[in-house]
Amino acid sequence: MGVDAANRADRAGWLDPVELPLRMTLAALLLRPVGSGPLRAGFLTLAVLGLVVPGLLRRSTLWALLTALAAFRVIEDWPLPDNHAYLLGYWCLAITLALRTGEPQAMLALNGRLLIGLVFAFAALWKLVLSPDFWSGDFMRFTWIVDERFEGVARLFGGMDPAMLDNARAFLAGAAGGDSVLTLSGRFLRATWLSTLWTALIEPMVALAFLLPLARVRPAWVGVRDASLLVFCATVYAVAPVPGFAWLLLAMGAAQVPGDRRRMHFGYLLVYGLILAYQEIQWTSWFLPRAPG
Amino acid sequence: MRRWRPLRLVAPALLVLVASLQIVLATLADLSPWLGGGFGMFATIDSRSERHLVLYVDSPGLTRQIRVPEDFEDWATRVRVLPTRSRLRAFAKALLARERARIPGVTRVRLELWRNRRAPGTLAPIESLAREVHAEAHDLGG
Repeated sequence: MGVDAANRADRAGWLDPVELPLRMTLAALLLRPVGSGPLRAGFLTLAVLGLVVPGLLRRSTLWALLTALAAFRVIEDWPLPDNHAYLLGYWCLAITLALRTGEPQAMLALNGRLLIGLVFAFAALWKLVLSPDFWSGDFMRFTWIVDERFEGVARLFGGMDPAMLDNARAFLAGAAGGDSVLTLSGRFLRATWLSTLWTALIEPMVALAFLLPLARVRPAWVGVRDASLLVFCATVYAVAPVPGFAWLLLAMGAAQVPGDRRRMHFGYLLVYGLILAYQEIQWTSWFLPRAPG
Repeated sequence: MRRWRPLRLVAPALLVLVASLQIVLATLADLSPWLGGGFGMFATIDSRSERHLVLYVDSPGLTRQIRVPEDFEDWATRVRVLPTRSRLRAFAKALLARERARIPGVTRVRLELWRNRRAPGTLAPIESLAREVHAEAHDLGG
Protein backbone atom coordinates (compact mmCIF):
# COMPACT_ATOMS: atom_id res chain seq x y z
CA MET A 1 0.00 0.00 0.00
CA GLY A 2 1.48 3.37 -0.99
CA VAL A 3 1.72 6.33 1.35
CA ASP A 4 -1.28 8.12 -0.19
CA ALA A 5 -3.43 4.99 -0.14
CA ALA A 6 -2.50 4.37 3.48
CA ASN A 7 -3.28 7.97 4.35
CA ARG A 8 -6.67 7.75 2.64
CA ALA A 9 -7.45 4.53 4.48
CA ASP A 10 -6.38 6.02 7.78
CA ARG A 11 -8.36 9.19 7.26
CA ALA A 12 -11.50 7.10 7.14
CA GLY A 13 -10.73 5.44 10.47
CA TRP A 14 -9.74 6.29 13.98
CA LEU A 15 -6.06 5.92 13.13
CA ASP A 16 -6.15 9.06 11.01
CA PRO A 17 -2.60 10.44 11.43
CA VAL A 18 -3.90 13.94 12.18
CA GLU A 19 -6.83 13.00 14.39
CA LEU A 20 -5.15 10.26 16.44
CA PRO A 21 -2.75 12.60 18.32
CA LEU A 22 -5.56 15.12 18.81
CA ARG A 23 -7.76 12.42 20.33
CA MET A 24 -4.91 11.22 22.52
CA THR A 25 -4.44 14.79 23.79
CA LEU A 26 -8.13 15.28 24.61
CA ALA A 27 -8.33 11.85 26.23
CA ALA A 28 -5.36 12.82 28.43
CA LEU A 29 -7.31 15.88 29.60
CA LEU A 30 -10.21 13.63 30.58
CA LEU A 31 -8.10 10.93 32.21
CA ARG A 32 -6.06 13.39 34.23
CA PRO A 33 -8.03 16.65 34.54
CA VAL A 34 -5.92 19.78 34.92
CA GLY A 35 -6.53 23.13 36.61
CA SER A 36 -9.14 23.80 39.24
CA GLY A 37 -12.61 25.34 39.49
CA PRO A 38 -13.98 26.94 36.30
CA LEU A 39 -10.68 26.34 34.50
CA ARG A 40 -10.95 22.59 35.03
CA ALA A 41 -14.59 22.66 33.91
CA GLY A 42 -13.53 24.51 30.76
CA PHE A 43 -10.81 21.97 29.91
CA LEU A 44 -13.17 19.04 30.53
CA THR A 45 -16.02 20.54 28.52
CA LEU A 46 -13.83 21.31 25.52
CA ALA A 47 -12.22 17.86 25.68
CA VAL A 48 -15.59 16.09 25.72
CA LEU A 49 -16.97 18.28 22.92
CA GLY A 50 -13.87 17.68 20.80
CA LEU A 51 -14.22 13.93 21.19
CA VAL A 52 -17.96 13.57 20.64
CA VAL A 53 -19.12 16.39 18.32
CA PRO A 54 -18.46 15.36 14.71
CA GLY A 55 -15.97 17.62 12.95
CA LEU A 56 -15.09 19.65 16.04
CA LEU A 57 -11.84 17.76 16.61
CA ARG A 58 -10.29 19.40 13.54
CA ARG A 59 -11.62 22.90 14.24
CA SER A 60 -8.80 25.26 15.15
CA THR A 61 -11.23 27.27 17.31
CA LEU A 62 -11.49 24.38 19.78
CA TRP A 63 -7.71 24.23 20.07
CA ALA A 64 -7.36 28.00 20.28
CA LEU A 65 -9.71 27.94 23.28
CA LEU A 66 -7.69 25.14 24.87
CA THR A 67 -4.49 27.13 24.23
CA ALA A 68 -6.07 30.17 25.89
CA LEU A 69 -7.09 28.11 28.93
CA ALA A 70 -3.63 26.55 29.18
CA ALA A 71 -1.94 29.96 28.90
CA PHE A 72 -4.28 31.46 31.49
CA ARG A 73 -3.52 28.58 33.85
CA VAL A 74 0.24 29.19 33.58
CA ILE A 75 0.05 32.99 33.88
CA GLU A 76 -2.55 33.10 36.64
CA ASP A 77 -0.72 30.59 38.84
CA TRP A 78 2.88 31.56 37.98
CA PRO A 79 5.44 30.47 39.15
CA LEU A 80 3.71 27.42 40.61
CA PRO A 81 2.46 25.48 37.55
CA ASP A 82 4.45 22.35 36.81
CA ASN A 83 6.12 21.76 33.47
CA HIS A 84 3.18 19.73 32.21
CA ALA A 85 1.07 22.92 32.19
CA TYR A 86 3.55 24.69 29.91
CA LEU A 87 3.87 21.72 27.56
CA LEU A 88 0.10 21.46 27.22
CA GLY A 89 0.01 25.13 26.18
CA TYR A 90 2.78 24.74 23.57
CA TRP A 91 1.17 21.62 22.11
CA CYS A 92 -2.34 23.13 21.92
CA LEU A 93 -0.82 26.20 20.24
CA ALA A 94 1.00 23.99 17.73
CA ILE A 95 -2.25 22.12 16.97
CA THR A 96 -4.17 25.39 16.56
CA LEU A 97 -1.66 26.70 14.04
CA ALA A 98 -1.36 23.35 12.26
CA LEU A 99 -5.11 23.10 11.73
CA ARG A 100 -5.15 26.53 10.07
CA THR A 101 -2.62 25.44 7.44
CA GLY A 102 -3.27 23.37 4.35
CA GLU A 103 -0.88 20.71 5.60
CA PRO A 104 -1.78 19.97 9.22
CA GLN A 105 -0.08 16.58 9.26
CA ALA A 106 3.32 17.98 8.26
CA MET A 107 3.13 20.81 10.76
CA LEU A 108 1.94 18.57 13.59
CA ALA A 109 4.76 16.16 12.82
CA LEU A 110 7.37 18.93 12.85
CA ASN A 111 6.07 20.48 16.07
CA GLY A 112 5.61 17.13 17.81
CA ARG A 113 9.17 16.15 16.95
CA LEU A 114 10.73 19.45 18.00
CA LEU A 115 8.73 19.82 21.22
CA ILE A 116 9.69 16.31 22.36
CA GLY A 117 13.33 16.88 21.43
CA LEU A 118 13.46 20.20 23.28
CA VAL A 119 11.69 18.91 26.40
CA PHE A 120 14.22 16.10 26.69
CA ALA A 121 17.15 18.37 25.86
CA PHE A 122 16.26 20.80 28.68
CA ALA A 123 15.46 17.93 31.06
CA ALA A 124 18.86 16.36 30.31
CA LEU A 125 20.60 19.73 30.66
CA TRP A 126 19.13 20.14 34.13
CA LYS A 127 19.96 16.63 35.26
CA LEU A 128 23.43 16.29 33.80
CA VAL A 129 24.82 19.83 33.89
CA LEU A 130 22.88 22.21 36.13
CA SER A 131 21.75 20.01 39.01
CA PRO A 132 24.19 19.72 41.91
CA ASP A 133 22.89 16.37 43.15
CA PHE A 134 21.59 14.25 40.28
CA TRP A 135 24.82 12.63 39.05
CA SER A 136 25.96 11.78 42.56
CA GLY A 137 22.83 9.66 43.00
CA ASP A 138 21.73 11.73 46.01
CA PHE A 139 18.59 12.94 44.26
CA MET A 140 17.32 9.47 43.41
CA ARG A 141 18.13 8.10 46.88
CA PHE A 142 16.37 11.04 48.52
CA THR A 143 13.33 10.82 46.23
CA TRP A 144 12.82 7.08 46.59
CA ILE A 145 12.70 7.56 50.36
CA VAL A 146 10.80 10.82 50.74
CA ASP A 147 8.33 10.79 47.85
CA GLU A 148 5.58 8.37 48.86
CA ARG A 149 4.74 7.77 45.20
CA PHE A 150 8.05 5.88 44.96
CA GLU A 151 7.42 3.71 48.01
CA GLY A 152 6.49 0.67 45.92
CA VAL A 153 9.74 0.67 43.94
CA ALA A 154 11.79 1.54 47.03
CA ARG A 155 10.42 -1.62 48.65
CA LEU A 156 10.44 -3.86 45.58
CA PHE A 157 13.78 -2.95 44.00
CA GLY A 158 15.49 -1.27 46.93
CA GLY A 159 14.59 -3.90 49.51
CA MET A 160 13.29 -1.34 51.99
CA ASP A 161 10.56 -2.36 54.39
CA PRO A 162 7.99 0.07 55.85
CA ALA A 163 9.89 0.45 59.14
CA MET A 164 13.17 1.20 57.34
CA LEU A 165 11.40 3.78 55.19
CA ASP A 166 9.83 5.43 58.24
CA ASN A 167 13.23 5.66 59.93
CA ALA A 168 14.90 7.02 56.82
CA ARG A 169 12.15 9.63 56.44
CA ALA A 170 12.54 10.67 60.06
CA PHE A 171 16.29 11.07 59.50
CA LEU A 172 15.80 13.15 56.37
CA ALA A 173 13.25 15.32 58.16
CA GLY A 174 15.87 16.02 60.82
CA ALA A 175 13.80 14.26 63.49
CA ALA A 176 16.27 11.47 64.24
CA GLY A 177 18.69 13.40 66.43
CA GLY A 178 22.02 15.06 65.66
CA ASP A 179 24.32 12.03 65.88
CA SER A 180 22.22 9.62 63.82
CA VAL A 181 23.45 8.26 60.50
CA LEU A 182 21.35 7.02 57.60
CA THR A 183 22.38 3.50 56.68
CA LEU A 184 21.15 2.29 53.30
CA SER A 185 21.56 -1.25 52.03
CA GLY A 186 23.79 -2.06 49.07
CA ARG A 187 20.69 -3.21 47.21
CA PHE A 188 18.99 0.15 47.67
CA LEU A 189 22.13 2.03 46.59
CA ARG A 190 22.52 -0.15 43.49
CA ALA A 191 18.85 0.21 42.52
CA THR A 192 18.82 4.00 42.86
CA TRP A 193 22.14 4.28 41.03
CA LEU A 194 20.79 2.14 38.18
CA SER A 195 17.73 4.37 38.03
CA THR A 196 19.98 7.46 37.90
CA LEU A 197 22.12 5.94 35.16
CA TRP A 198 19.14 4.85 33.07
CA THR A 199 17.59 8.34 33.22
CA ALA A 200 20.95 9.93 32.40
CA LEU A 201 21.28 7.73 29.33
CA ILE A 202 17.77 7.64 27.93
CA GLU A 203 16.90 11.34 28.20
CA PRO A 204 19.79 12.66 26.07
CA MET A 205 19.20 9.78 23.67
CA VAL A 206 15.56 10.81 23.12
CA ALA A 207 16.64 14.45 22.74
CA LEU A 208 19.21 13.61 20.09
CA ALA A 209 16.92 11.20 18.24
CA PHE A 210 14.21 13.84 17.93
CA LEU A 211 16.38 16.88 17.27
CA LEU A 212 18.91 15.48 14.80
CA PRO A 213 17.75 15.55 11.16
CA LEU A 214 17.81 11.76 10.92
CA ALA A 215 15.44 11.63 7.94
CA ARG A 216 18.00 13.52 5.87
CA VAL A 217 21.16 11.95 7.25
CA ARG A 218 20.14 8.31 7.79
CA PRO A 219 16.45 7.65 6.96
CA ALA A 220 16.75 4.10 8.30
CA TRP A 221 17.45 5.52 11.77
CA VAL A 222 14.19 7.46 12.06
CA GLY A 223 12.68 4.49 13.92
CA VAL A 224 15.10 5.22 16.77
CA ARG A 225 12.87 8.16 17.67
CA ASP A 226 9.79 6.06 18.31
CA ALA A 227 11.76 3.26 19.93
CA SER A 228 13.55 5.58 22.36
CA LEU A 229 10.42 7.51 23.34
CA LEU A 230 8.31 4.38 23.79
CA VAL A 231 11.01 2.65 25.83
CA PHE A 232 11.41 5.81 27.94
CA CYS A 233 7.68 6.03 28.64
CA ALA A 234 7.23 2.30 29.28
CA THR A 235 10.13 2.17 31.75
CA VAL A 236 10.36 5.55 33.47
CA TYR A 237 6.63 6.03 34.00
CA ALA A 238 6.38 2.56 35.55
CA VAL A 239 8.31 4.16 38.40
CA ALA A 240 7.64 7.92 38.14
CA PRO A 241 3.92 8.51 38.51
CA VAL A 242 3.26 11.47 36.18
CA PRO A 243 0.82 10.03 33.61
CA GLY A 244 -0.48 13.37 32.31
CA PHE A 245 3.00 14.33 31.12
CA ALA A 246 3.54 10.87 29.61
CA TRP A 247 0.29 10.99 27.64
CA LEU A 248 1.18 14.40 26.21
CA LEU A 249 4.57 13.08 25.09
CA LEU A 250 2.90 10.07 23.50
CA ALA A 251 0.35 12.25 21.66
CA MET A 252 3.19 14.37 20.28
CA GLY A 253 5.14 11.25 19.43
CA ALA A 254 2.19 9.79 17.53
CA ALA A 255 1.87 13.06 15.60
CA GLN A 256 5.34 12.70 14.09
CA VAL A 257 4.74 9.13 12.85
CA PRO A 258 3.99 9.10 9.11
CA GLY A 259 0.50 7.92 8.15
CA ASP A 260 1.81 4.80 6.42
CA ARG A 261 3.29 3.39 9.65
CA ARG A 262 0.09 2.18 11.26
CA ARG A 263 1.87 -0.36 13.41
CA MET A 264 3.81 2.39 15.11
CA HIS A 265 0.55 4.22 15.86
CA PHE A 266 -0.61 1.03 17.56
CA GLY A 267 2.66 1.03 19.50
CA TYR A 268 1.92 4.53 20.80
CA LEU A 269 -1.62 3.52 21.75
CA LEU A 270 -0.33 0.43 23.50
CA VAL A 271 2.10 2.42 25.66
CA TYR A 272 -0.64 5.03 26.25
CA GLY A 273 -2.74 2.19 27.71
CA LEU A 274 0.22 0.87 29.65
CA ILE A 275 0.65 4.25 31.38
CA LEU A 276 -3.04 4.13 32.30
CA ALA A 277 -2.49 0.66 33.75
CA TYR A 278 0.52 1.89 35.76
CA GLN A 279 -1.71 4.63 37.11
CA GLU A 280 -4.65 2.45 38.03
CA ILE A 281 -2.88 -0.70 39.18
CA GLN A 282 -0.34 -0.65 41.99
CA TRP A 283 1.70 -3.25 40.15
CA THR A 284 4.57 -3.23 42.66
CA SER A 285 2.17 -4.53 45.34
CA TRP A 286 1.81 -7.80 43.41
CA PHE A 287 5.37 -8.66 44.30
CA LEU A 288 5.47 -7.35 47.85
CA PRO A 289 4.47 -9.29 50.97
CA ARG A 290 1.05 -8.36 52.25
CA ALA A 291 0.75 -6.69 55.64
CA PRO A 292 -0.36 -9.21 58.28
CA GLY A 293 -4.02 -9.16 59.27
CA MET B 1 1.20 26.60 3.59
CA ARG B 2 3.62 29.33 2.57
CA ARG B 3 1.51 31.96 4.33
CA TRP B 4 1.80 29.94 7.55
CA ARG B 5 5.46 29.14 7.15
CA PRO B 6 6.69 31.73 9.69
CA LEU B 7 4.32 30.26 12.28
CA ARG B 8 5.65 26.72 11.94
CA LEU B 9 8.13 27.16 14.74
CA VAL B 10 6.21 29.44 17.10
CA ALA B 11 5.49 26.77 19.73
CA PRO B 12 9.03 25.29 19.85
CA ALA B 13 10.50 28.81 19.88
CA LEU B 14 8.26 29.74 22.81
CA LEU B 15 9.42 26.63 24.68
CA VAL B 16 13.09 27.56 24.14
CA LEU B 17 12.45 31.14 25.25
CA VAL B 18 10.60 30.21 28.46
CA ALA B 19 12.99 27.38 29.35
CA SER B 20 16.02 29.64 28.85
CA LEU B 21 14.42 32.32 31.01
CA GLN B 22 13.76 29.67 33.66
CA ILE B 23 17.44 28.75 33.75
CA VAL B 24 18.35 32.44 34.17
CA LEU B 25 15.81 32.85 37.00
CA ALA B 26 16.89 29.62 38.69
CA THR B 27 20.53 30.68 38.51
CA LEU B 28 20.21 34.34 39.43
CA ALA B 29 17.01 34.59 41.44
CA ASP B 30 16.86 31.16 43.10
CA LEU B 31 13.70 30.01 41.30
CA SER B 32 13.05 26.37 42.19
CA PRO B 33 14.48 24.25 39.35
CA TRP B 34 11.31 22.14 39.38
CA LEU B 35 9.14 25.08 38.31
CA GLY B 36 9.03 27.82 35.70
CA GLY B 37 8.84 25.77 32.51
CA GLY B 38 12.50 24.77 32.25
CA PHE B 39 11.84 21.02 32.60
CA GLY B 40 14.08 20.72 35.65
CA MET B 41 11.63 18.41 37.42
CA PHE B 42 13.07 15.23 38.96
CA ALA B 43 16.57 16.70 38.59
CA THR B 44 17.40 17.98 42.05
CA ILE B 45 16.43 17.71 45.69
CA ASP B 46 15.82 21.48 45.80
CA SER B 47 12.02 21.43 45.48
CA ARG B 48 9.58 23.73 47.23
CA SER B 49 9.30 21.37 50.21
CA GLU B 50 12.99 21.92 50.94
CA ARG B 51 12.46 25.64 51.58
CA HIS B 52 10.46 27.13 54.41
CA LEU B 53 9.64 30.49 55.90
CA VAL B 54 10.03 31.45 59.56
CA LEU B 55 8.13 34.54 60.65
CA TYR B 56 8.71 36.75 63.71
CA VAL B 57 6.44 39.54 64.84
CA ASP B 58 7.88 42.25 67.12
CA SER B 59 5.87 44.30 69.57
CA PRO B 60 7.46 46.53 72.25
CA GLY B 61 9.27 44.13 74.59
CA LEU B 62 8.04 40.98 72.85
CA THR B 63 9.03 38.92 69.82
CA ARG B 64 6.64 36.16 68.75
CA GLN B 65 7.28 33.45 66.18
CA ILE B 66 4.09 32.87 64.19
CA ARG B 67 2.92 30.36 61.62
CA VAL B 68 2.07 31.48 58.11
CA PRO B 69 -1.57 32.60 58.35
CA GLU B 70 -3.98 30.44 56.37
CA ASP B 71 -4.92 33.26 54.01
CA PHE B 72 -1.21 33.87 53.27
CA GLU B 73 -0.26 30.25 52.56
CA ASP B 74 -0.60 30.44 48.78
CA TRP B 75 1.43 33.66 48.67
CA ALA B 76 4.03 32.11 50.99
CA THR B 77 4.45 29.17 48.61
CA ARG B 78 4.99 31.54 45.68
CA VAL B 79 7.60 33.43 47.70
CA ARG B 80 9.39 30.22 48.72
CA VAL B 81 9.81 29.02 45.14
CA LEU B 82 11.05 32.39 43.85
CA PRO B 83 12.45 34.20 46.89
CA THR B 84 13.67 37.48 45.44
CA ARG B 85 14.27 40.23 47.96
CA SER B 86 11.42 42.36 46.57
CA ARG B 87 8.95 39.47 46.76
CA LEU B 88 10.02 38.67 50.31
CA ARG B 89 9.69 42.31 51.32
CA ALA B 90 6.26 42.66 49.74
CA PHE B 91 5.17 39.57 51.66
CA ALA B 92 6.63 40.89 54.91
CA LYS B 93 4.91 44.27 54.46
CA ALA B 94 1.54 42.66 53.80
CA LEU B 95 1.98 40.43 56.82
CA LEU B 96 2.91 43.44 58.96
CA ALA B 97 -0.22 45.28 57.81
CA ARG B 98 -2.30 42.24 58.69
CA GLU B 99 -0.74 41.87 62.14
CA ARG B 100 -1.09 45.59 62.89
CA ALA B 101 -4.78 45.39 62.02
CA ARG B 102 -5.12 42.65 64.63
CA ILE B 103 -2.69 44.03 67.22
CA PRO B 104 -2.01 47.79 66.84
CA GLY B 105 1.23 47.64 68.88
CA VAL B 106 3.08 45.48 66.34
CA THR B 107 6.15 47.35 65.11
CA ARG B 108 8.01 44.93 62.88
CA VAL B 109 7.82 41.67 60.96
CA ARG B 110 10.97 39.68 60.31
CA LEU B 111 10.95 36.98 57.72
CA GLU B 112 13.57 34.28 57.25
CA LEU B 113 13.82 31.90 54.33
CA TRP B 114 15.53 28.64 55.34
CA ARG B 115 16.75 26.03 52.92
CA ASN B 116 17.34 22.38 53.60
CA ARG B 117 20.46 21.26 51.85
CA ARG B 118 21.75 17.71 52.01
CA ALA B 119 25.24 16.56 52.89
CA PRO B 120 26.62 14.80 49.80
CA GLY B 121 26.52 11.04 50.23
CA THR B 122 24.94 10.92 53.68
CA LEU B 123 21.87 13.06 52.84
CA ALA B 124 22.04 14.52 56.35
CA PRO B 125 19.90 17.68 56.50
CA ILE B 126 21.84 20.93 56.69
CA GLU B 127 19.60 23.90 57.33
CA SER B 128 20.89 27.24 56.19
CA LEU B 129 19.45 30.72 56.31
CA ALA B 130 19.12 31.81 52.68
CA ARG B 131 17.46 35.23 53.02
CA GLU B 132 16.26 37.54 55.74
CA VAL B 133 14.12 40.65 55.33
CA HIS B 134 12.04 42.76 57.64
CA ALA B 135 9.26 45.28 57.34
CA GLU B 136 8.73 48.07 59.86
CA ALA B 137 5.73 50.22 60.63
CA HIS B 138 7.13 53.23 58.75
CA ASP B 139 7.46 51.03 55.61
CA LEU B 140 3.69 50.92 55.43
CA GLY B 141 3.37 54.68 55.00
CA GLY B 142 0.12 56.46 55.80
